[in-house]
Amino acid sequence: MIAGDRPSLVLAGNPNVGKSVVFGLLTGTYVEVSNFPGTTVEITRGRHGGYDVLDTPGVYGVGSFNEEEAVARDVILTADVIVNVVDAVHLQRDLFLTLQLADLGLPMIVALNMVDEARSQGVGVDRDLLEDLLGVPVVEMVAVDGSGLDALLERLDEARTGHADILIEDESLEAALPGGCRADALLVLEGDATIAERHRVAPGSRRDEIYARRRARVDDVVGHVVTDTDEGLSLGARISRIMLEPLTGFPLLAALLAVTYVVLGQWIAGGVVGVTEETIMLGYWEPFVRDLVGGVLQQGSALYTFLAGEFGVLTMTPTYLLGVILPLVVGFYLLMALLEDSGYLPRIAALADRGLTALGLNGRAIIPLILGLGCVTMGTLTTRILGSKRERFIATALMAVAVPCSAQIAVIAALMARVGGGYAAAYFGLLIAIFVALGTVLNRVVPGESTSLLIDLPPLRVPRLKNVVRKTTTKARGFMREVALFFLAGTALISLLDITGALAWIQRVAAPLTVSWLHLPAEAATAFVMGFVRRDFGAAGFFTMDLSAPQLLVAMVTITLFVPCAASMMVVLKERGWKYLLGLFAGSVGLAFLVGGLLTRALEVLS
Amino acid sequence: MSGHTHQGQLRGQGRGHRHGHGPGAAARRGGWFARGRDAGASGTLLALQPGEQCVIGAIADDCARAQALRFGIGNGALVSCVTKLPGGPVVLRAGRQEIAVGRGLACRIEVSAPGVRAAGQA
Repeated sequence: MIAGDRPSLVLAGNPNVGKSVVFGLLTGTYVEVSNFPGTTVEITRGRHGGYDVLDTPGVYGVGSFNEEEAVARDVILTADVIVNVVDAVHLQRDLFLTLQLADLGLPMIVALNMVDEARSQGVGVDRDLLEDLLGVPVVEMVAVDGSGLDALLERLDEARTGHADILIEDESLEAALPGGCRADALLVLEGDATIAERHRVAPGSRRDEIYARRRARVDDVVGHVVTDTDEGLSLGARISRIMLEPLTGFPLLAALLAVTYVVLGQWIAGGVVGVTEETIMLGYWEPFVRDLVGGVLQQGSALYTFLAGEFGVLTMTPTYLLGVILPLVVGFYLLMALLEDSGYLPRIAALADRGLTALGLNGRAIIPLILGLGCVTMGTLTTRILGSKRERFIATALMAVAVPCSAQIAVIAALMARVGGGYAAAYFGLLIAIFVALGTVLNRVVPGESTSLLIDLPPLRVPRLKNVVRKTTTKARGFMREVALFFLAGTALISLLDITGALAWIQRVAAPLTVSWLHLPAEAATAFVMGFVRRDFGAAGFFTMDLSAPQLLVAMVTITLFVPCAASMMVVLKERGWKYLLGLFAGSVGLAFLVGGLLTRALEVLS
Repeated sequence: MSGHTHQGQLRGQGRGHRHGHGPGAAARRGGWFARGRDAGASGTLLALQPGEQCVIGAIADDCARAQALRFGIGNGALVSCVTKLPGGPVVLRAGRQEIAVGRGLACRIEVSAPGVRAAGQA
């Protein structure tokens, strides 16, 4: 994937330093601008002159601590030239990577970004001295304004390897990886298990020593080139303090959640989707397709059903993807982009850390969980940012079982409106209780150890509209591309079941469970079958049934706990493997009917 | 690496004591709303109170130690506590850098008062 005919120019830097903006300046194409540490998983590439330009996920160093780091490392190791973007305000942190790149012996040029922000915060950086101390060209930039780009391009040819740690002797590198290149040898020496395995040698044990010396060199360089007057520290720091102080931080977070609910749950899931799904797709698109297909094929024929039937690939698939999912996904990514670019997201992770620790997760897991409320598929994909297999295991299960997606919440909210607030409160209360209980149980039974929170809290900034829009479109596009095929396969499968009569058979087989155990009408089985395809569709299946209030509560709780939608099961399969998927499938079906049945009896005793 | 820190001189050192049930035991025992002073093992980051400063000593977690060195809060770094969330992470400031450290990790990071050399410090 990396190899190309042209020499490669790789952008490397810490998260949130404007790497992607520099990438955009170089290539002129549209890219993602990341802020939250660890959300740029994809590699973006483009061209500049004779170079292939590659953007990497933001990392604090070259290593194998998580998946993104491994991706960044592999791209960095193939680079012909590295443009190391550093944040002038945070050289203390950023130069660690710079010096590691120098130690690795990779040709580079340093883009000293955000010099305007540094100046306004009273931070001065002696560029000439920094250039001397690092041994590589250093150019000042304000990437968001495009300034400094000319200097960067002009000096690109001067890129060279920087001053490396003189105490890393050639002999020890040769001993660590006989006959290997310097970069790989140093990573082996630093104990990088992946690189060691790649060369079939044992990982070295000198990481602590090399890292400690590198840190000391960074502190030394920073001591010489940076003049910090501590000006301008107060405002951002004060707001950050308010966000993190328990007495103000939690109410602020609660207020944000309330606003989010109104915007996403009511405006988008209700208002916008009402127009896109019902008016546009169901009102105009589907009748149009049915007319068109009906003109060629016999209505009711197998092919007609496959193309334009209830679950047709030309009817239900586009309606669901464009009418329902697209607006919701755009809404959620917009919110996430705002949270990321403002720097608030890592602070939410800090606030949520205590609660999530009890469930075997740490604060970082709040990101996939928030996304899971938008779309479980999206949340499951984002479990990649979690630090251990154990955490990914738990987070995936929690989302698949107990987190209703926004589309489902919208349908359920509409149904619950029929029976009064008490039942809606009972629904959400039960779900939260199950979420906590399941997490607590998984925390006890899943083997291994979860990682502890260690997260960089980037400075608070007012999000730039352009960046937010860019990021939202890239992410939404990427997501749609990822789920479209899965969903198409899912609906095609259901169509086949429908055509072959298997659907009716499943409904008959499932009927005893729904009727005698859950005390629901026989047609409820149809809703559960629909629930396989999409969660809200399952809930919507109850719309036409005449249910009593307790029956409705039972139905909603059961359908929520019931298996996640086809698209998210596909993603679970891809991310966690088939054994996990089977366990999840059996577990969620079992739990759904167990809780549903018990709830039925409890409600009958109460009434 | 493991030698003792000068706990007596650590500002803000409270009644907290080591339970000896391994890392995290003290943190877990603290309960949901435990305040750092009671829940923290003394001589660790967990005992640090908002507004206080300390010098980072040994970090008993390989991954976290490397990560901390990258952030600039390695052995010997001077940090101050911005705030502590009830039962939750300790928020540190080192220079212009803010970092949240989960409780489970905070109790595995030894600290000493500024001006006192921590054990294992380079």
